[in-house]
This record gives sequence, C-alpha cells and structure tokens, in this order.
Amino acid sequence: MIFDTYWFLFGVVLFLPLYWLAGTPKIRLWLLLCFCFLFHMHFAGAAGVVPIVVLASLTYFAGRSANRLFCAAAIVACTLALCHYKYSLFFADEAFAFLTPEAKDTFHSLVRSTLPLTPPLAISFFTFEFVHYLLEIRKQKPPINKPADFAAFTFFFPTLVAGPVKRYDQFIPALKQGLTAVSSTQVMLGLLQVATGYGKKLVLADNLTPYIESRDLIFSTISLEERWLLLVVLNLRIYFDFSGYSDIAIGLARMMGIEVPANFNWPYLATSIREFWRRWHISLSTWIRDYIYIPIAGGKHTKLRKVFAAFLAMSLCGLWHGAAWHFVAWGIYHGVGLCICALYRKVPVVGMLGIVFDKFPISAWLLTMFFVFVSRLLFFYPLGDAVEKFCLLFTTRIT
Amino acid sequence: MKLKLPESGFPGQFIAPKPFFVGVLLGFLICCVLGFICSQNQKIENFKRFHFYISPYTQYFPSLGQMVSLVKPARKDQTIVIVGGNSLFNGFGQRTEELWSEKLKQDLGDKYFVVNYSFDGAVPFEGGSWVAEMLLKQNRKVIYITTAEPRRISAPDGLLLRREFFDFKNHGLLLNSSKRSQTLDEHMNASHSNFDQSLLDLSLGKQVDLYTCSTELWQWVGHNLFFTVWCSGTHPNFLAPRASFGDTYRPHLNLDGSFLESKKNELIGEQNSVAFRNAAGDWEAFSRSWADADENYQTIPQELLRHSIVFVPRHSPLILNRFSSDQLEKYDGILEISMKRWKDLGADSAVIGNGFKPDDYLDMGHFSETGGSMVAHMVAEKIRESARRLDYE
Repeated sequence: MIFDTYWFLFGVVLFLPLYWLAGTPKIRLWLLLCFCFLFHMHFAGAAGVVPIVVLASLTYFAGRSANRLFCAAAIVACTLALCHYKYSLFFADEAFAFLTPEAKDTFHSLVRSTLPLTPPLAISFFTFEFVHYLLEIRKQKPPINKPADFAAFTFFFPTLVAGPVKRYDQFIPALKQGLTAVSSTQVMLGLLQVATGYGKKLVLADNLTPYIESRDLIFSTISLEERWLLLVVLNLRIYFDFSGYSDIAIGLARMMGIEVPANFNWPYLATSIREFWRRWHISLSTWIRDYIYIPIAGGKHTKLRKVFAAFLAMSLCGLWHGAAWHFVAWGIYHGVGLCICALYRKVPVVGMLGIVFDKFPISAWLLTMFFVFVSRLLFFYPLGDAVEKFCLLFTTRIT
Repeated sequence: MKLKLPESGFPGQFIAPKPFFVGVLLGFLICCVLGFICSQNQKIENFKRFHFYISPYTQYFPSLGQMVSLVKPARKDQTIVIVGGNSLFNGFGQRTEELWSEKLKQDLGDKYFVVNYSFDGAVPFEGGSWVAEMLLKQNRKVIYITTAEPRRISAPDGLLLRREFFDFKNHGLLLNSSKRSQTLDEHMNASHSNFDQSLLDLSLGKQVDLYTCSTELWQWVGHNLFFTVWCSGTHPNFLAPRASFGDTYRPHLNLDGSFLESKKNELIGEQNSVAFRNAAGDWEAFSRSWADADENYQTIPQELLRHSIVFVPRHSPLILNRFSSDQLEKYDGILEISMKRWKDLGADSAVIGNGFKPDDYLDMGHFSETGGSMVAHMVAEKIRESARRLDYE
C-alpha cells in the first residue's frame, strides 16, 4: 500500500501546507502537478510513467479535436494498451492452451519478453478514466481545454492508485473550487476521513490479514464454525482494506478542497444484489453501468438482450480485477445474481419470495450477504479451490 | 456539475475546526512527550531472554529503550557480556530456570554482567551486537558472543530487527564503519542496482521516529497495557499486554528417522557447494559460495569484531552419525574454515558441540538443558580467555 509508506506521509506533510499557503489558484495547480509527478515517478518509475503519459497525451489531443473518429481510435488505443500490459500473457496462454507444453512455454516466454516486469502502476484506473473522457466527448460534451487541467485530472495523486474512478465533468469543477479556496472545515473533515481510512486499513484490515493467512492454510482441518468465520473475516478484510484506501484518497482530496465522489456506502447493509452494487465500489459499478451495460441494453430492449448485457458487463468487471478465469467466474456469478434479482418477482410462485423479503427485510439481507460473501471465494481463489472451499462450508467432514 | 460539500454534516456540525486542529496538535505533542518519557522508562521485568511472546515471531519488536534498559543496571567495573545470535543461544526449548545463559551468569560470577539478546532466527550480528557497539562507544568493557553457522550472512541492518537498527543508527549509538555506511547508501540509492525501496522508506520513518518517539510509546503500551496486532502465536489472547505472557512456549520437536534423513541430505547437499579438497589434501572454501558472506562480514565494525567471540555450532550426533566418514571429515573441515574466517576478520572463534552426546541436544542442532550447561561452561572459559586478552581482568 502506497499510502502507508513514510515517503508518502513525508511528501503529503510537506506538500499540503504549501498548497494551502499558495496565494493563487495557478500556483496551487502547479504545486499539485509537481507533487503528482513526483508521486507517480517515485512509485511507478520511469517505465511506469512513460506509457501513461503517452496514453494521456493521445486522449487529450483526441478530446481536443472533438472528432468522433479520433476519439474512437484513442479508445481503441487505450484499451489495447490495457490488454497488452495486463492481459496479453493470460490471453496468449489460453489461446495456445492446445499446444504442447514446450510450445506453450516458448510462446509464453515470447510474449513475456515484450512486457515489463509489472504493468504500469494503476493502468486499469487510467484506462477507465480515459475511456470515460473520450466517450463523453463523443457525446458532444465539452473537452478539457487546458493541458494542466487535464494533467491534474489524469495524475491526481490521491486517486491515482486505487480510485475512485473519477468523472471529468465532476472533477474539473471540484478542482477549480479547491484551487480557489480551501475552508478549514474541509481540511478538518478531510483529516477525519483520512484518519478513518488509516484506521480501517492499518488497524482492522491489516490485523485480519494474518488471521486469514494462518487459517486459510488449514481450511480443511478447522471446524465448520471457523470456516464460516473465516469467510466473514475475508469479506470484512477486503471491505476495510479497500474502503479504507478510498477514505484516505477522498479525505486527502477534501483536504485540498477537492470533492471526489464516495466509493462505498455501507455495502454490507444491502438487502439485494442490485443494492449491493449501488453501495460497493460505486465509481466502478457506475462506470460499468454507464459505459457497458446502458450502451448495450439501455432503453427499450428485449429481456434477453438485457440479460446478455448484464452478463457481459459483469464478466468484464471481473476481468478488470485480474487476468484469471476465476475473476471472470466471479463477474458472471454476480451477473447471474443481478439478473435473478431483476427478474424473480415476475416469475410465478418464486415471485412470492419478494413478498417475504418485503415483509422481513432481514431475510433479504441474509440472502444477499450469503450470496456476496460466498462470491469472495471465487474472487480470491482459483476455480477448483473456490469450489472445494465452498463445499467445505457445508460439510462437517474434517479432512 | 458542482458538488456540494457536507460542511454542516456529521461530524462537522459537532466540531469546530479551530478547536479540532488545536486538539490534534496538542494530542500529537502529548503523544511525543509520552513517547519520550516511555523511552526513558522502558523496563522488561524479570528478563531472562526474548522468549517467543516478546519476539518478532509474535510481532513483538523490542524498542531501543527496552533493549538499552537491559544493560543499564551493569556496574562500571563489570565486564558486560552481550549474548547475540539465533535460537541456539536463545535456548530454544530450554526452560527459563534451566536456561544456559543463566548458568553462564552463575559460572562467570559477579565480575560479569550477562544479558541474552539473542532471537530465534536472527543473524549473527544484529540486536545485541548494536547494544555492544553502543557500549563500546561508551568505553565500557564489553564482550559480544554469538553463533554463526558456516556462510551465515546478514544485511548490515540485520534481518529481523531492521527497525531497531535504524533506531540505534539515528541515535548515533553505533560505531563507525565506512563499509557499512557505503552498503547502506547503495541500498538507499534509487539509481543503484542494490536499491531497496523498503529500506529507504524505513530509514525515513525512523528519522521521524527520532523526534516523535512513537515506537517507544506503542511498545510501552503493547508491553504494559494492551497489544494491537493479531498473530497466531498469541491467539486468542492477542490483545493482552505482552508483560502478562510468561516464558512458557515449548516447541514441538520432530526427530523421526525420515526427517533426520532428509535433513542429513540437505546438509550434505549444502556442503558440496561450500568446500572442496585441494591438491594438498586440505579442505578449501569455494570462494564464490562464500562471497556474499565475506561481503557482509566487511560491514561489521572492526572494533566490535575485536570484542567478539563467534561460536560455530556443531550438529547433534543424531544427524552426524548418519554421515559417512568422508562426509564427516568434510563437515569438520567446513567448521574449521568457518572458524578461521572469523579469526582472520579479527574475532575470536570456537566450535561448540564437540564431544557432545545426543542427549545434549534437543533436536538436530539445539542444545538440551544438559547440553546448555556444557555450553555455558565452555563459553565461560572462552569469555575469561577473551577478557584476559582484552585486559579486562
């Protein structure tokens, strides 16, 4: 985690007072850009920065041209870059799975040699923001004119590593507001949110991690109750970890007077899968909704098309999290959940369940949590392990 | 689109910014002062060794204040014996009342002040060695003893206690060693091939800690009030203060035949890359396989080495009896090479475990309580010898 490094803390402690004391919005903007550059260079290195700068330039100029074709070309370029850095090994391995092991290894090494050791830092987040920007420009929205504003949108350090995924039409006005004036209340609220984020991450999530690691190794030998406890802890850990990170990012932005939309809203209180996705990683789920689901199934379309769109959107959501089949399976699993959630009330007999859920919301909550918690097995483990662990949740057999 | 900030929402409606910032600043300053006070008043009651529950294995990293407090009671006229090294000198499996270093204390008598700073898994020169450096810098009479298996290496900042290293370094308590400084600079230089990002970050953090004393405060709270980090070793009482844990951990030992056989094969495999018989019929080290160790040894301050005795441990007959005569000869040859290397560096060195019986060992390498008594006696002899050499007696 970048936010718990001393380099970052040092940097922020030096940067923020300078930002607050800067006399004009212009100086603040340049200070912000300098720190963003230092931050990105330090944590991503030149090899990680260069591809993003290239993609950002392409996106900026395509946006400025406001030409639909250029924008489409830039979207393709960004998507191809993401596929190259993050998925080419995975795709190559899967595409040539039928070859002999030796040929597969040769091909694997060949693809590997075209890649850096690690993909450029946060390339998934960058790509989603660029694609969002270009799609909005294609819808005739005004582009960001000033390169410095675009650079601030792209390299804004609090959200650079793990989001929230920003929308430029929200961010640019918020940026202008923050550059103009920062109130002490904003700084206070931001600081409190940062502290909450660190508490969630360092005190809660980081303490649950060793518990999970130690119990995970002996999952098949622990009692049934402890297996369920582990599943709950696994879910709590990812929530505290990720929402803590988001809190730090949003709080830091707020300390600069820049409002970034919330990313979590008590997701484990959701009483349906749809509600869960409105509360969990909000910036990603709304991105998927706006740029994948709605273009395919928005407006009046057949149910089949809507179901297909939900599956596709959620599969891509899964794949976005990592290059492995279990992520895709996790996405499809949630796609199925969303479809059932949207349609079950119209099915005879089964639809009666809706009345039960309305009357006893706790039953809806329990079922939702069961669905969500179990899905983490698919998220964290390869398919075979996930299925095995799922079975072990229901058998007292101790192997 | 313009977003409205929740200026009047919770908690903004309950707290005004100015008192909040004053509170944060005051709270921070109070914590710093408390940290400083704790650093001066750290104490581990009835200390015999850093046992399992106050060791890195249970996420417990003793603070500088705690480590220094252990030698504070030593009188000026006493020779301070600092015990470093790993589980061998930590007395793995030995009960506190039968701990070898307690017997060493009795054996050496009142002229010596013995503190056992060894940690399970530690490298030869870390933890206690920094205390020894601090004492040498204060012109105290010090002898540092440690164990080191052949080729055992470490980074100049240690392995388990890297944070503590920077505490000692930043407080100016370590002896000068240009080679050590140079190696650390390389590790913290982003353009160097040995660059270690985590080390740079640790160094930065520890520089802040010099003024905030946050480690000292946290460690004091963790030792005396409540602990905050979960680990399997203290589950389910992980919140309990570490002072409430006794030295009660007893390891599970595995001594079945197949285990010993696999360990024997492992040892023999290692031997093959360590030494060869030269034309004169003597055992000679493969210089390439010792290169990392040699590089590391250079970072140890010469002054500390001069006051050190490095004990090279011999394995239990349980395992050595499985060796052929050739293999055993090579094994002894490697111990000799190792010992000689330490002597060439300026430290005194000896093998421990020569002539020991299987009962003197707890497993394939750790000493039992009876073995511990023999170790204490042998080590005491070496210490007296060194004390005479250093004109301490």
